Amino acid sequence: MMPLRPFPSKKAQVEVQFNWIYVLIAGAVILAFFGSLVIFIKGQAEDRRAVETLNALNSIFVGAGISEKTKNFIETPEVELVFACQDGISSFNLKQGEFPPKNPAAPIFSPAEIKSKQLAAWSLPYKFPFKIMDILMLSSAKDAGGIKYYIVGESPLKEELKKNLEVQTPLSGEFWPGFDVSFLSDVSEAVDENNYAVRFIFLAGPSFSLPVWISSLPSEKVTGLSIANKEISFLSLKNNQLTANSVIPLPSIAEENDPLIYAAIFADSEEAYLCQMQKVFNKMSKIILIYESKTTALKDFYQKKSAINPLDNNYQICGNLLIKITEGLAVMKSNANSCVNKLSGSACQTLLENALAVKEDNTNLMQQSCAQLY
Amino acid sequence: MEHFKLNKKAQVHMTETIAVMFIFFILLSLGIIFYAKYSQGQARIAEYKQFGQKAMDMTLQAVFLPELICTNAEAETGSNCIDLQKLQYLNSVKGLSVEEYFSLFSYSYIWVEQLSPNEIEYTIYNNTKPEYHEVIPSFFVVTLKDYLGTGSGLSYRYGVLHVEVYR
Repeated sequence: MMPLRPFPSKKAQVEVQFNWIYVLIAGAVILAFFGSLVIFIKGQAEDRRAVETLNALNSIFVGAGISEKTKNFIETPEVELVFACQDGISSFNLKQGEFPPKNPAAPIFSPAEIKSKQLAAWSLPYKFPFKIMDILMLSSAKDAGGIKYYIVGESPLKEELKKNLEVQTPLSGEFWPGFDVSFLSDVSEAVDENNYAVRFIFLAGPSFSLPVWISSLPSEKVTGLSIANKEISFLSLKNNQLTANSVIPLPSIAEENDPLIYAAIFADSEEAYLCQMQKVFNKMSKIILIYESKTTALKDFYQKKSAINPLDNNYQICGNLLIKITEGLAVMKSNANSCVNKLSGSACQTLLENALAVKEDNTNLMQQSCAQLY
Repeated sequence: MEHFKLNKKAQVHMTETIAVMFIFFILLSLGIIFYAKYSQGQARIAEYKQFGQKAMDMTLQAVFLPELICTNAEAETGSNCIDLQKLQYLNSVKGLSVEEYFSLFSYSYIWVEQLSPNEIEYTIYNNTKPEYHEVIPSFFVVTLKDYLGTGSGLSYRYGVLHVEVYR
């Protein structure tokens, strides 16, 4: 007869159960460890991608900004860009995450937020009368689900806007999709296309009654601009109506493709526009200083030549023209410093007259076969 | 006796389990150390790439600086051309102000070396870093437009624009 096996003891029963609990706990800890490692690496990869995107965009903006009269089409990952400007210092950054913002040297006139996978950029030189800097306009490209621009009314500017803002298929070079613009005779023709923001540009006076579907958008996403000759007025939505802020005269002598008008179209608020213009005017003061020194050098040259060759009238004419330009530039510099904050006032009006005078004097220099200022 | 054998078997089994877990954690630590070293290398490469890109941006901005470029009245400005009179003025004031242009040029040394007709150096911006890790130099051949010329008016010289970016 086989001996009876003893029953398993209570201690063994507890030991088996404890073994399983131990395995479960250990397994859970290891799983949690690997899970947190994966989340950490994923977060790092996303941060790295965001920083690379910002750096790449900064380089693209630098390149776009220095190549004047060029249009660029930029494809980006699905990110939301925010643009800010304070005291003449502009920056852009990603909306999500905390990354150090980029501070581009060139002024960028754009909406405060751009949520789009495709951006369209366009740069124009600002000449007053000599080149001050390149101005970069940036917004979402057409068919990218970004911001919609409704250009309302008739004016000589309309054809130029059509030529510049709509899609272009050049014979050579890169395709440019243009901005998302629609040209309307009346604001009531505006159709909701599910854009997250809209901007109305009025060419023949603002209209205060907007289509009913506008009320479905947040008020900060509906903005407007009124353009009349060389004056602009930013419009903001209040109680479902667009109300005008102050009238801003544009310090510009461009007869076509005026960069300041296009800059106003894309900057969606008066504060952003004036802040970026501060950058432009700060640069203007530095450029005028350099041209002042050049004028002095040219003037000294002609005065010396005139002293050596008193019978040659041309040197004296050139010298006199350059003296006039020197005085004009000194007044321009002083007015530029006064005009920087608001763009309105007598200093700005005088600045415009100074610039036109310098332009005329430069043309006279050319006609008299003198060395030109620019 | 059998009970004693079972106990010993259980102890051996437990020791095996502990040994396996020990080796597992050693392998895991080795994996983490390897990944950390790899990430460090990648971060250094990314930093160097970013520095190179920044140097390229600064160089482009220097070449197309409105304070220097040649002009042609209302026509488009020329490329790779520097106005000699503007350059001479900047050199006379020891270059662009570091405070005003630091956001554009950071730590760099930008100067033009005129090669013809005679050799002269003009400083455009000078903000070298006292203790730097490395420097990326760039060179551009440029023409120097002299509005006063030599007797007959407008003339051109040529030189090299040097841009040295420090890190």
